[in-house]
Amino acid sequence: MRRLTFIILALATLLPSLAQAYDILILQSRRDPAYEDVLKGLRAGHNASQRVLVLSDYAEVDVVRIVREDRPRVILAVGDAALTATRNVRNTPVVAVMSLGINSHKRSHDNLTGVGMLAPPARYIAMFKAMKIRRVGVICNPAKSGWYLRLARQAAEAAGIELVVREVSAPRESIERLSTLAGKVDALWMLPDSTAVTRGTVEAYFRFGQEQNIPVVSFAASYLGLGAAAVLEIDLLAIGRQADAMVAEILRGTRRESMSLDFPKGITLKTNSSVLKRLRIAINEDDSPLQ
Amino acid sequence: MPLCTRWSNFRTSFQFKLFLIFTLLTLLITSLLSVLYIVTENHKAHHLAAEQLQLRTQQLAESIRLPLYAENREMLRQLAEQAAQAAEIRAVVITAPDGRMLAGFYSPDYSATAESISQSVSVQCNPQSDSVESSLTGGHGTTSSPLGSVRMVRGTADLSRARLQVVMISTSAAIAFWLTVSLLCHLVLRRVTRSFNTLVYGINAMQDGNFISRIGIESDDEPGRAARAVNNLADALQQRDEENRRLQEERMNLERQMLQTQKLESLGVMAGGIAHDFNNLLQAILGNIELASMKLPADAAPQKYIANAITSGKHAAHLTNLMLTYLGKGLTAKKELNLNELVRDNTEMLRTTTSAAVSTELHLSPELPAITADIAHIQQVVMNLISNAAESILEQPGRVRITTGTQNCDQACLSASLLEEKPESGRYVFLEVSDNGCGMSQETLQRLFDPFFTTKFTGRGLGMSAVMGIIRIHNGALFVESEPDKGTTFRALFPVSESAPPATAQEPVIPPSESTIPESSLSGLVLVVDDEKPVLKICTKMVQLCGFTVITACDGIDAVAKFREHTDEIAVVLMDLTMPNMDGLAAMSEIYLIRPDIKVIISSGFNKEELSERITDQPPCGFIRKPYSMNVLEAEMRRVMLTD
Repeated sequence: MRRLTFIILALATLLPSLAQAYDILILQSRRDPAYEDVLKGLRAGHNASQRVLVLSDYAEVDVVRIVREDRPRVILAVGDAALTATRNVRNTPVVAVMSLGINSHKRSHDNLTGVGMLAPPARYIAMFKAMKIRRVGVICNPAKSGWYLRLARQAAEAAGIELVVREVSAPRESIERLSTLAGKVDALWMLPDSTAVTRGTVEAYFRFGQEQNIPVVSFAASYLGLGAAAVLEIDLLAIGRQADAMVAEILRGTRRESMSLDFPKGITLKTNSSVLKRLRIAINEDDSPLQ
Repeated sequence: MPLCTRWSNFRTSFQFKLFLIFTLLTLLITSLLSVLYIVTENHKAHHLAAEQLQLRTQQLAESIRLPLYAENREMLRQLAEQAAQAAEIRAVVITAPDGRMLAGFYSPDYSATAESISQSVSVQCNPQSDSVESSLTGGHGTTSSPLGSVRMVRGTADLSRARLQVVMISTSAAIAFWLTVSLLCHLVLRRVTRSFNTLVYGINAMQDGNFISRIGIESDDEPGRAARAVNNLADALQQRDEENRRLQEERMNLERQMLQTQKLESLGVMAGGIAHDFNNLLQAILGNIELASMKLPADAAPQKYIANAITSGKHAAHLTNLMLTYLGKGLTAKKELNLNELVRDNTEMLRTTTSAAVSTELHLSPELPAITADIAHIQQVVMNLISNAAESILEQPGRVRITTGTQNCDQACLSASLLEEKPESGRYVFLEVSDNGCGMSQETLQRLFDPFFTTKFTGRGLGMSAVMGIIRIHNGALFVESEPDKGTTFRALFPVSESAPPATAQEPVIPPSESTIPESSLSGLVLVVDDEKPVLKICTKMVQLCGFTVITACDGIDAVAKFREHTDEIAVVLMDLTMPNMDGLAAMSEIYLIRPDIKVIISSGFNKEELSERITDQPPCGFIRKPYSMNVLEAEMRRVMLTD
């Protein structure tokens, strides 16, 4: 009888431990088709055990307690909400994807790595060069997009392109600042800056481009319908595969020393041929940003 | 028809009632439709204006999205003023999400209390404009908050003008439609009710007694069938009316004939009585005068006066005979005779008595059939017609044309005869006497045959009466055509003699004369019967002068008694026809019963034919008409005596 009691207690203690043991804790901000595409790329690459936790399904999720109890070897945060939820996790490496604020989180988050949402500035500069653009207008909030702007300036200088920058601190300023670019730029570069580009100001960019008869280059294909001449769109599956490679390196222990952020590798150039034709702009194949 | 009566009839007519109903119904429907149209158009215009204002406001909202987001008041004000340039826009107000008015424009005639249309539109971000995150992730972004709102107010003055225009147009159209429909309704109803009106007019005409007019049948509907039925009724009524008229005419003709018959009978009775008495008187007068003449020497001076008295007495006897002739009771002796001969002889005689300026033309048919007639009567007819024609020619010269011939007459032809008694259809000999004299008026024509009516100073008024009586006796017909100042034409018809061949020359009728009586001695007992003592006395004397012995009786009974007393002695009975107690015929019958071979001579003022009509048994051996002369009596006595 004593032996049976011991066996029962042992099983009750040990079985839950065995059930919660997994390699990857996937924190998903919400159920979103784009996130699912990313996860498809992730799951196609390895056979590691994982647990998926959709934060929007719960009123409140204590990620720190889950990590302490489940002890995953790596956390994959999909979306800004998931990344924010991991800000207090210090001992477990975090790979973030689909997060616009990944760069700001990186400053206070040493164990954070991941794939950004922005195409490398050099790609845009190369595209401007292919379009034979000399002056490019940019509106951005330095607090949010300063790091990206620095990279862009370096690339522009290298390519001989002048960036005419207007800084804003509030969305309403964007429209007024846009008007100051009239006649001073050959193209307008819409940065994925949540201050400069809002639902209220998006129309102003394209109206400006229409009024000034200059191309507007943006970052998402959805803007092509509003009048964008060309966009460099990221490939979600590619981001998933890129994150999967990071996770694999972490699991192997090879990436522990260099927890840096990567630009997305799968970049797709999409153009609005009608706009380009109306603006009589042709993109030189030799200078294609995808090369 | 007075106007008020026509209006009253029209007001109560079927056509007017239907017209009133249709017109009021059309007016009601037209008014309802017009009101509905006006209300609908007004509502539609108001709704359209609201939609247009909504579109205009939406358009403004689209255009102010960016300046509203940037709260660019100056641009918002310009856009508001620009939007207010549109017609009837009274106010444009742009407000921030927190209610702050960023721009506003009010026209000078804007009034918050005035009737207006207001539309407000919330200004939203471009729905296609994604945020950075949603555009990168491809997901749906959060719902954006409104950028503000814009409100536009427009006046309704143009709507009022449009509404007034719609009211005027629709009212005018409704009135025109109503009038047109009413006019068409009137025309259609007039066409439809025409048959009713025709029926009513026809019935009214028949109600007024006009059965000749017929209702025009314009259709085969109920009024048409009713009109046909009324026409049939009118036919029946007309036939009945004509039948009544014909019966009335026949009744009047019968009454007229009865009156005429009664008149003739009365005249006959009166004239017969007068003629009888007159002839008795003449018999006494002429007999006495003749006896007186016989007593005097032939060359005695009084003989001339006695001859004049005898002539006047004979004229009086002729006058009596005319009167009896008019009544059909005159002396007649019908024989077959040739009218041409009679006309020719009388024309010659007339030429000697008429003026030489009156020419006489004879157109006598050579193949004229004979007629059976009394020559004296026909001579009288010829003489009367010719003398009347000659005397009608007042202005000399003149012409009298006498024509004879034959003609076939049917009842239609004979119905125009002036005599009441119409003879049977057949072949007739006509005598036509026409003149170009003074003619006769209608009044004279109507009294043409009245006895004692004359237009001549010397006339006795019995000539045409006698002509009518003679023609009636001979079953003839008489026609007359006369026109004042143009002349007169008489045509007398006499039936052709059935037995006689076409007449040629005929033995002239020789009246009994004294020279034809053979001389011989007469003797025997004669019973002279007469109720008039003077006549009885003169007759007795005349019979005695003939050589007879006479016994007398004063009436029939007395005669029968005397004859019974001297049955075997009496050779001849000379008896008056008309007597009291027992007339001559009854007495003759009694005498024949006593002695059938006795010779009886009837003397009377009437003619022999009338006597023959009354005798049914054995006729008398002789007849002598009063007044008779001594010679006539002797001749008749001698003839009777010599007859076996």
